[in-house]
Amino acid sequence: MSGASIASGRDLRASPRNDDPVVSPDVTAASMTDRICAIALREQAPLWWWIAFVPSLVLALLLVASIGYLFYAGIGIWGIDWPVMWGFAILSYVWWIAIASGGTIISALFFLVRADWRDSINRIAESMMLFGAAAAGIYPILHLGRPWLFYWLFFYPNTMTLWAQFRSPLLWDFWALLTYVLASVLFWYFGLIPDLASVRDRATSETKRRIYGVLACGFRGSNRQWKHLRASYAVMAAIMAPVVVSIHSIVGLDFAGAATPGWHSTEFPPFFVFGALLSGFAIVLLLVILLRRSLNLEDLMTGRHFDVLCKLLLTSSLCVAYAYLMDIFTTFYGGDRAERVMFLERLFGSYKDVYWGALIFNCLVPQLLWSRRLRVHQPTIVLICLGVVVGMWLERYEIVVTSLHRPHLPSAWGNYHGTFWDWSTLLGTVGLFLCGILLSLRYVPIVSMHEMRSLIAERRAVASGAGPHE
Amino acid sequence: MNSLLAGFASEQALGVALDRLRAAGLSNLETYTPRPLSHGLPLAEAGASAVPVLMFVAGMLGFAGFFLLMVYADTRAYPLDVGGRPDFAWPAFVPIAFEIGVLCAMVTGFFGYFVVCRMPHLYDPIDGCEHFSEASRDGWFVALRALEVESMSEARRVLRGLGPSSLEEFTG
Repeated sequence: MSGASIASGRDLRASPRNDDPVVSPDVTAASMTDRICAIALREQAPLWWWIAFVPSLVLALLLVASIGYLFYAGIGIWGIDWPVMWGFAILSYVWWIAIASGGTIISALFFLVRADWRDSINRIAESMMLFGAAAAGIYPILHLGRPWLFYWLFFYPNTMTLWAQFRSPLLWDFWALLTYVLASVLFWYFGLIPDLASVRDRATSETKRRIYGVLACGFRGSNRQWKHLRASYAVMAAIMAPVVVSIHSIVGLDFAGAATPGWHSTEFPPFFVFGALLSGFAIVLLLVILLRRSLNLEDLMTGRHFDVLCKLLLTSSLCVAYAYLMDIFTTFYGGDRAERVMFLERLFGSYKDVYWGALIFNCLVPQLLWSRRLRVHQPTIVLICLGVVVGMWLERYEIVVTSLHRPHLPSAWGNYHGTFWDWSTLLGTVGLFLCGILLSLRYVPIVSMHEMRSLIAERRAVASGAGPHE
Repeated sequence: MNSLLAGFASEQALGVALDRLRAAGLSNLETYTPRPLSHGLPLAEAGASAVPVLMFVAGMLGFAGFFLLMVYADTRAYPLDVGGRPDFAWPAFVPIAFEIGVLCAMVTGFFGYFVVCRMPHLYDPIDGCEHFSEASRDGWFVALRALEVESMSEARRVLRGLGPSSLEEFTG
């Protein structure tokens, strides 16, 4: 039994295995709580944290500068122009919201199906969801051109007696994004409350005790507080799972609702959800691999986590491959000449590297994960996941740009390339995301301690052949 | 000092203590634990939570309210002819109504929890007990508050007989 192999002294750090237990049998509720709280309460951040944080902060400042210049000069500083009127802003928005969505799926959907491997990584997934949604949420406002008028998307009584166009997926998207961002923040914070209380109770300085005390809102673990928390959290998870499917389906409908070649397809909503799963699993895997080593969490994030997440990544890669195949099938089966012209241009035209890159990184390379050995081989997983992250961005580029650059009328054909400000904004959002993740690593319990305590108790009860009580 | 806080090393020991205290006629019990009590223990299923019901009601009201608002806007206040499509395009109203219903449910769940649990509650006399911070680590506590003199001595007697890891008195 794998648990015995660890108890007998096998080094989890050196060689994670597919059949590792989900948590090392040596871990107790007390030791786990002390370690996770110590990470949040340490006085000095380790060197690696600063090495990661400083460049991330520089990139985040680049975002501020890029937005400042955009507001000063207007969206003419970007590469968008007729016919490609959706460029980096939209494709990066879709890319980020996909990353965030993957985090929600892990946190919410796998909570509902009681997946035991979720408990030690759901906080990482939720942090990814939060900062991915923040990075995504910036773009639509910037893309409006006149961002100060964004409130026109709300429906409100106005002197022009105008109402919004409720039948447009673009308006649905506004509400879906608003709901998703707000609901993500609430869901993340709600699950964090008991852990903030744990940190409060371990804080050694009065200042930290007060800060975490206020954030924990007086949670003390009373039966009343647990009862309502458990019930409310379960319903929130049950809500978040369909919300994440809805937001990415609606993002897909933003495209499918237009008559543009390459977009006008009923497969777009599930296609986009598949992509969200793929990129979300890839980023979670990257974070888990980096954090378990840098924070010495090898006994909480084991080979079992790699195995499960890699299987999920492989499954979502197959789903994406199916969507790519259906894209080809519907294009050529449909018989629309403009669709065929656009698609052949996508395969062999000036953006062919983008298409083939997406295909290779999203569909072909992840097939390596059929190998049981490679599913726990960390360098391979890192390379595959980095490939998927790049591949998913290329896929969004392919969908947005190559479709728009070959519209129905040949007289309207044209090319597109991102400018310096497009790239600086994209890199800036990467900096924003990384800053958020690093700050949450520094100050927020990075493992859901109260859920881990339940898992540890369950494992111990099973190991000792006892009932659910310790 | 009119309240007692007893700590136990395991959930099982706490379960036994709860049974004994209830058998002794002491019913005003409050547990403080590092995780939710397992099913089957006293107090673990003490009534259903009202928060999910509130979330459901808020979600449905949000859905219905904004659905009707869109119907009003598109059929009465500002009919908009887009390619001859019907003004009352009800399937197109569903996504926004769904999202707003969800938002209403989430916000209600979040704030409803604080209302139902009477939080934020930043200070409580129980915080002064020396071992209480273990409740958020691996300590299992039961508190008996505002006891009469006879109940206090009875509770103390029962708890001492159970061998608690800590037994403290506080005013609360």
